[in-house]
Amino acid sequence: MRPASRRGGGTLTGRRERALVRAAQRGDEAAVEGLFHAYWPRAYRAAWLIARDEHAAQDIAQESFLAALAALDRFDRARPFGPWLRTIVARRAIDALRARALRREVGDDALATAQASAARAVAVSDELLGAVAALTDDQRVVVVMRHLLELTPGEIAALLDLPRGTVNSRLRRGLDALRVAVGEERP
Amino acid sequence: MIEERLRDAGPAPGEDVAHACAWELAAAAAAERAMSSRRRRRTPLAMAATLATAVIAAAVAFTPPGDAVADWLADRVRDAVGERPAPVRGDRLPGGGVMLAASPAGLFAVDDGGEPARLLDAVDQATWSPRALHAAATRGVELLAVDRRGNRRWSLHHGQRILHPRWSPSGFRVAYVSSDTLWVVNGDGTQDRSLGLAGSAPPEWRPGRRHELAHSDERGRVVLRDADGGRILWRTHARIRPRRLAFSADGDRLLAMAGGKTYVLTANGHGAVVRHARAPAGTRNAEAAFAPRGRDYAIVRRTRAGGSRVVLVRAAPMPGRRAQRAEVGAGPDRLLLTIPGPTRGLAWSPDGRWLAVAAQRADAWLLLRVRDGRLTGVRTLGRASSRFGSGQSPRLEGWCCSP
Repeated sequence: MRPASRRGGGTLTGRRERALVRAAQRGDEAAVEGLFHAYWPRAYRAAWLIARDEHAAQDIAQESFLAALAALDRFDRARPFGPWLRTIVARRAIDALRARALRREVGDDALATAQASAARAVAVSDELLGAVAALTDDQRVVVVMRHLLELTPGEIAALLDLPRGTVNSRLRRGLDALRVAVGEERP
Repeated sequence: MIEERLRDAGPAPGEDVAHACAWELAAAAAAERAMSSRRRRRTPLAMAATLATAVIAAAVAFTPPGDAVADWLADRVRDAVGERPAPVRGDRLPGGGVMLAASPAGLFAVDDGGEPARLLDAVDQATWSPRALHAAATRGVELLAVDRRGNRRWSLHHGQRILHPRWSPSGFRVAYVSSDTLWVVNGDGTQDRSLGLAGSAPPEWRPGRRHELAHSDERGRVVLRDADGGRILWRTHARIRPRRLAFSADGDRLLAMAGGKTYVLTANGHGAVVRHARAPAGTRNAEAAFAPRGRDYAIVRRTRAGGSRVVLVRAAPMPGRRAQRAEVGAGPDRLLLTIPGPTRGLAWSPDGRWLAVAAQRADAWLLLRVRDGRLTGVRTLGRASSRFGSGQSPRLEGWCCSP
């Protein structure tokens, strides 16, 4: 079992997370707020980096959290909540990415292109986040899924329908490119 | 190490705004869960209660249904603008003019501090005449017009139900739909005539023009028609299948709102699509209304969670053009408020400073004060179902008029 999320919008120990989930299942609004503030920020950042669109990221992060909330009554408290939510985010972000790639209508293609261009042109205040945003699609998606959404290479391979070896090689190349971009020495 | 730094990297662009919007919805969902949880806990309590406790529980059970939601909404408004909504009071409706409400209990005019005046008994839908001296309303297969004292002026009947009455800006025509056909009658009830097959969107009159009428046809195309001669001025090739149509105040732009997309068409020439935008994932467009001045418009989007987002879509200059006027939909969307449950009507005040939304679950009409594209205050006409005497939240049918 993976430990509960250590970072994100806030720090939650496994014990604290389980207490919040229990309280949220009983209808405690403050507990829902605690879960939201702990997990939503990283969900949004991951969704933005994958979808490259603020509106899409807002919808993905928001709807994922609401979907998790709606399913809370069926949630097994023995599982960590954070990774479960992040899996939902990953699936929806990939769906959004694929939907844009498959779009056929005239005008929508232009919009998609304009949005992608706008996403690239947007100033990102965080240097590292900006470097991730500048990676190629293949590298960026696996880096975000591994290190923001904390999915395993096996889970990433299943979501993207790729061999695990391909996921690992894209991860290595992506992290190497990031180190160069931010001037960090390889360990 | 870079792997560890990645976990804390941020914020991402748009995160602050998205955070506020997302929390609105998450808080609404949390409130829903809390209310459901309290109802489940109360039931066993009432069953095991003493007489006094049973009386209290009964009082709770018969509390007007919108109060809990209205209370929650008031807290959200306070978080957004710094003060809870104040009830409408005084001699004048904020934004001026007079509102029109339709419910199973009747047709009501609302002004003078929010107190309704009944014009008719139960109606389905209604429309103001251009100066709110009359209203036209439907009641099954009947279309009738009344004055402000409730005196019936004229009526007509069809074989099938009559829908979507719309009084023209000139005051001399009333359009409506019956039997999937678009009809026009003179403002005095004479010369009822058909214009052609109609789609599902209510027809809309073009402002500042004599009797040009936009509607959807049986194939979902948007049509602009000369209502007097019947001639089609233009028709889109695309089957937009709009649910709502709305003209900008200057009559130059026509908004065609479908469930998943909005289209902005140029009303002159051939009805070309100027812009279009998809509703955000997980939402469906439900209502739209242009501001009475400028080119901003408000839109209500229903979410999968069952709530409604009231959004202001701003006009802005298009890049690369020397346009003197800002383009519809070229600016940012601004979330004004998220409301639990569906809405039953959307209308701007005549002075363009207030946006009225009928919030069904809160059982209230919310008057949103909008300044520079932002929500700056809220007033309420609360307990709408009892205020209008129907036990059901009334539909907001319009808000008229500039003096």
